[in-house]
This record gives sequence, C-alpha cells and structure tokens, in this order.
Amino acid sequence: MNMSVAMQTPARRVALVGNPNCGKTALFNLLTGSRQKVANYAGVTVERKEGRFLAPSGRHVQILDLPGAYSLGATSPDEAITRDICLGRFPGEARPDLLVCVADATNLRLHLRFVLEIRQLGLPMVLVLNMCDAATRRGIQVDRDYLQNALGVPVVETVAVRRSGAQALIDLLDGTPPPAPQPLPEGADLHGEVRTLLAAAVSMPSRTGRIDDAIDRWTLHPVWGLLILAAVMFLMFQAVFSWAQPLMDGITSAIQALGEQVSATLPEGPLRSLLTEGVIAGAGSVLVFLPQILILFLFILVLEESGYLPRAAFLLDRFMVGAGLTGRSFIPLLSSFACAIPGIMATRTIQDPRDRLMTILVAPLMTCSARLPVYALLIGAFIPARTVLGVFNLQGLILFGLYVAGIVSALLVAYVMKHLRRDRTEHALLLELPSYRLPNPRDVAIGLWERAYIFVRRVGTIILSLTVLLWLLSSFPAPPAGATGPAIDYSLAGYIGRGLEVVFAPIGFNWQICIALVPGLAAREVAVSALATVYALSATDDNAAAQLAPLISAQWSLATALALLAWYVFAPQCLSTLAVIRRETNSWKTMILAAGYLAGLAYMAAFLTYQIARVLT
Amino acid sequence: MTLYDIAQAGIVGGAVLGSALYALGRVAPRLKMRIGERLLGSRHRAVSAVGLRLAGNSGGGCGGGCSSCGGCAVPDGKQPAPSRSAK
Repeated sequence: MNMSVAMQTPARRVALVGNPNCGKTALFNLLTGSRQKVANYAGVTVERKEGRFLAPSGRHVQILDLPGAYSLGATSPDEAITRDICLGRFPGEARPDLLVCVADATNLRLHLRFVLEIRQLGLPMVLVLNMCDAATRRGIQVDRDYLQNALGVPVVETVAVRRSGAQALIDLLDGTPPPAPQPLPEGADLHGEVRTLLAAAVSMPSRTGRIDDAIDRWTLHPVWGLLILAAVMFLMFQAVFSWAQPLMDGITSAIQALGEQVSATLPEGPLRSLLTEGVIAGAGSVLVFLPQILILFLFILVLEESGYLPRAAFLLDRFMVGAGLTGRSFIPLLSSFACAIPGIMATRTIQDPRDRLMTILVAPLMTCSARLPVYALLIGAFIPARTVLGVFNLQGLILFGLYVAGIVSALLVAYVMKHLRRDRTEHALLLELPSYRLPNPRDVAIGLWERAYIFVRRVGTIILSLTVLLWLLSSFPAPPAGATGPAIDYSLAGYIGRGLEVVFAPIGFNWQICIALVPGLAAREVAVSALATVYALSATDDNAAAQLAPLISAQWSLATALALLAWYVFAPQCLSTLAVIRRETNSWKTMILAAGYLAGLAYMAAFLTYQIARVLT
Repeated sequence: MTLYDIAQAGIVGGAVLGSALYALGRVAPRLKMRIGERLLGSRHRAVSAVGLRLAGNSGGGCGGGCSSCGGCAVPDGKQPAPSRSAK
C-alpha cells in the first residue's frame, strides 16, 4: 500500500485474545513498545490495555490487550471484559476489526478450544502460535499449513519474548485483513473438533514436561513443598536487610552531605529550613529505602517469571479454604505485597463473588511495599543488627515476623468472617500450572527499573508534596517572642499533634507520631518523611536531618516502637486503596467496613502490644 | 526587604502552593476537578488558566505512575458482570 494512503486510513483495531498465560501481554509489549506487567501465571491482565504501533507501510494499528479467558461464557469479571469487547457489547468500545487469537504452542490441547469458540464469532481472525521456541525444545511439532487450512484463518508463529519474534504477525497486520472464517454448525462439539485437529496437526512426544514433573514432585509435596515455600520467603526477608545495607549507607551519606552543603550555602531562613528540614530530611529519609524495595522486588519478579507462584497457590489452597478464602486468592494477595491496589484489581480473576469480596477485604492486611520503609526504620532503630544461631540476621527475622503477622491476620479475619456469614460452601480450586521457566534477565531488569522509577516518582511527587505541606504546618505560626522551646511546639502541627495525642496516648504514641499518622493516610511512606521533618524541626543540631533512626531510638521507648510496628501491621489503608475497594465492590458500605475494621484492629493491636511491652520491659 | 528575601518568599510560596495542588489532586481528584471548573469561569485570565489546569489534570491514584489501578480515584463506568458463577 502507498505510505501516504496507509497513513490516512483510520487505525485498524486489533484485539489480542486467548487463554490466560499464553503470552498476550508479552506480544502486546513487543508490538507497541509498552511495558505492561507480564508474569508466568494466569490472571496478570485483568483490565483492557490499549496501545498503538505504526506498521512498516505507515498504517496505524490500535492494539487491545484483553484479559485471558478460557471461554466466552465468562465466569469472572476479567473474562466478562473480554467477552463483551469481542461481542461488541462493551460500553463505548467499538467491536475490533480483527481478532488475534493467541495460543500457547506448548499447550494446544487446552488453547485450541477457545480458538474455535472465537472462530464462531464470524470476525476476521488470525491464530498466533506463541512460544514456538519452547514447543520446538520439547519436541512438539505443529503442522501450521494444516491448521491454517482446517481453521480457515492465517496461522503465524511468534516468540513474544524475542525482539524479532513477531515479524510474521506484523507483516500480516500490515496487509489486507483476512476474510472472516466460516463458523462451525450450531451445536458443534468443540472438544471433538480439538481432538481431530490435534490428531492431524500436532505431534507430541509422550512426555513433554519431564523437568516440570521432576521439580513438582518436590515443590508440590505436602510437606517438602511447604518447607520450600517457607525457605524461599524466609530467604527473601533475610536478603532485604543483609544485602541492602551498604547501598543504604551510601545513600544516607549522600543525603547527609547534600544537607550540610545546603546549610552551609544558604543563610538562615524559611528557604533553608524548607530545603534541609523539609525536602532533604523528609523525602531523603524515604529515598534511603530504595535498595531494600528493589531487593524485595527482585525476589518477587524472579518468582513470578519462574512459574513457581501458582504452585504456591496450589499448596496453600487447603489453608486458604480452611480460613474461608480460596487458592485463587493467593495471587491477588501476593500482588498486594507490592501494593494493595493491583492486588485488589487482581481479585477480578476470582469467579465466586463471595470469595472475591473476602479477598478484597483482607488484601490490605498484606504488607505492601509502602510499609517497608516504616518497618525498616523502626527495626533499624530498635532491633540490634546481630546474628542469631550463627546465620540468621535478627533484623531480617523481625521483618519476616511482621510479614507473617500480616498473613496470619488476614487468615484470621477471613476465618472470623467465614463464621459470621451463612453461606459456608467451599469451592474447588481449578488452576493452570504453567511450565517452569528460567527468568529472562532483561525482563527482570526492566521490572526492577520500573519499580525503582515508581518508588522514586512517589518520593518526588506525593511524598515530597505532603512533606512540604507538613513543613509549612510545622513551621507556622512562628513562636511568640521570648519562647524557649523548639518552634514546632508553637506551630499548627504541634497543636494538631498534641490534640491527637489524647486519643493515641493509651497506645504509647507521642505527639510527633500522631502528626506523622495524618499524612501517612495518603501514602504510608510519608509517615517516615513526616517524622524526619518533625524531628529535624525539633532538633537544635543542623545535622538531625540524616539522623532519624538514632533520634527516635533515643527518645522513644521500646514499647512505643513495638506498638507503632503493630499499628502498621493493620494500619488503615491509604486513601487510594480505599477508593479502589469502593470502585471494585461498587459499595461505599464495603469501603467503610474495610476502613473501620482495619482501624479498630490497628488500635487494638497497638494497645495490647504497648501495654504488654511496658510491663515486660 | 532584600532581593533574596523576595526570591525566598516566591520560591517557598510556589513550592507550598504547588504541593497543595498536587496533594489535592491525588487525595481528592474530584474536588480538585470541581474547584478547577469553578475557577474556569473567572474573568481573570490567570485564575482561569489555573482552573483549566486543575480541571483537566485529575489523575488520582497512589502517585506511583504504574497505572495498574487505571487512576483508581477517578469514577468509571459499571463493570461487566460474569455470565454465570462457577460453583
């Protein structure tokens, strides 16, 4: 086609559809240059994603990446999105011009059924056999020409994780769209059709997953499997403290040097105070935790890519069901370790509305990465960095304990709710176990880069802006003439903190902590920057900016620190999480229930911890 | 008042105002949008420009920029329902 003509024609709308975990999003990223999240388990994409690319002829192609579905008879909210877009029923969304049905070439026995169902829609379509490299390695041979003739649609092979792996598909999308295939007669036996196609076009060796089976014998073992899972999690939290320290020391020194430089350069006044006690002390105190966040995500990304996570879901299904959840809750709950928001979104893969609601309600109890700076600050300040039993880092052990406390609380809450509701039916877990895969270093590196970007962006935006506002509240009004105490005592924040102290005194929180809790509602890490700003403004020493941990360890009792840790295990969620709960459940009542029970639990846990610790210490 | 004092007041004031607007957009995007719409009607060009900026830029969410929530604080349409519930 002439390039200028191609550029003038309207963008072709192409939708990527297929079973979960067949590589649709990897293909979407490859075609559009996007960086949507990919992982080796079903249910990563729960929302439609849109991207564009410019084909070699100059044609604009609009690509929709749809959630994976096993059938057009949707059983979960994410499958319903795919169904509605394919049928042209999705509000405000035109029906796609072309469907690209992606199938995992190593698992055509499962994926071809959905291909046949999509073919029945009567839309122009292309069948993409993805992961062809893995199929070849396993000795699976697919007669592409036979499939093409039998299905009446073009069939192309792709390797979505390779840069040039989709060239055949790009050429096809750039050309004239294929005609719509002839649908099978009404009531045709799709499973029978799949068997016929497999017998004629696919040759499979007798055992395709020998390595998978060998690994699964250990990882799915009822005893060894659980021990392996516990060991992996344990190693993760040990690493967070042991590996990150040198990098954290480096960042702390850099921030300290910057603070000293600014103090030496600028004359005393509001600007110097804003920069040193607000921006550098506040935002800088959160930035220090970047290495720990990255180590945590390194483990999560490797586990996601490897295909181990669905096995963990399978292993924990018995516990989950016992507690009133389902094995399907595992992936959303695990996503909540990064942030509760994608975790709550991921509950769309849960078919049963009751199980889904339960998972949404307990997802905020998983320790999100925003809590890590708070935990790390308090552990670093109050728990000695010593080795236990010759190998274990005590600080890492405490961090592991806090994460376990979050998980156990979620199971307990679900258990209590299970006994409060009338419907106690249990639903069997049907979960696709993907093949194990060696994580692609490039994908892991991109994932880490994105996590670093997200964290630094949060520090530079929401955390910085709230810290600046807190600095304002902590600096004005100025102290009256002849005042002897620190200026913050006479400020608006000082008054607010002392007002709140009445409520929080029984759980051991001083007025500085009370001040930090308020902006912490917007983003939890802000609690750290808020404490840093408040203590920097209270201190007489100019260098207090970089010394939050020693300052609080000198001024707080151990009971107060432990109570604050207990508070943050349950602490009320950030406002964004509450907004997502409201949106996903379409209910203000559920959102208020979630906020209320989490606040109640947090107060109760902090109260008990403080009172018990006070007696014991 | 020296030039430094004026510059200092300008920088600090600008930082505080910018932070307040940003935080408002993150924590209460709808309120920010409504304020923006009110300001849009102003006869003063500068106020109207601020209103345009507030009304048009209403991204909610946690500020991470990962967009996994699709701008979680922004209202959206009704979600499609599944055809049947799996038992």
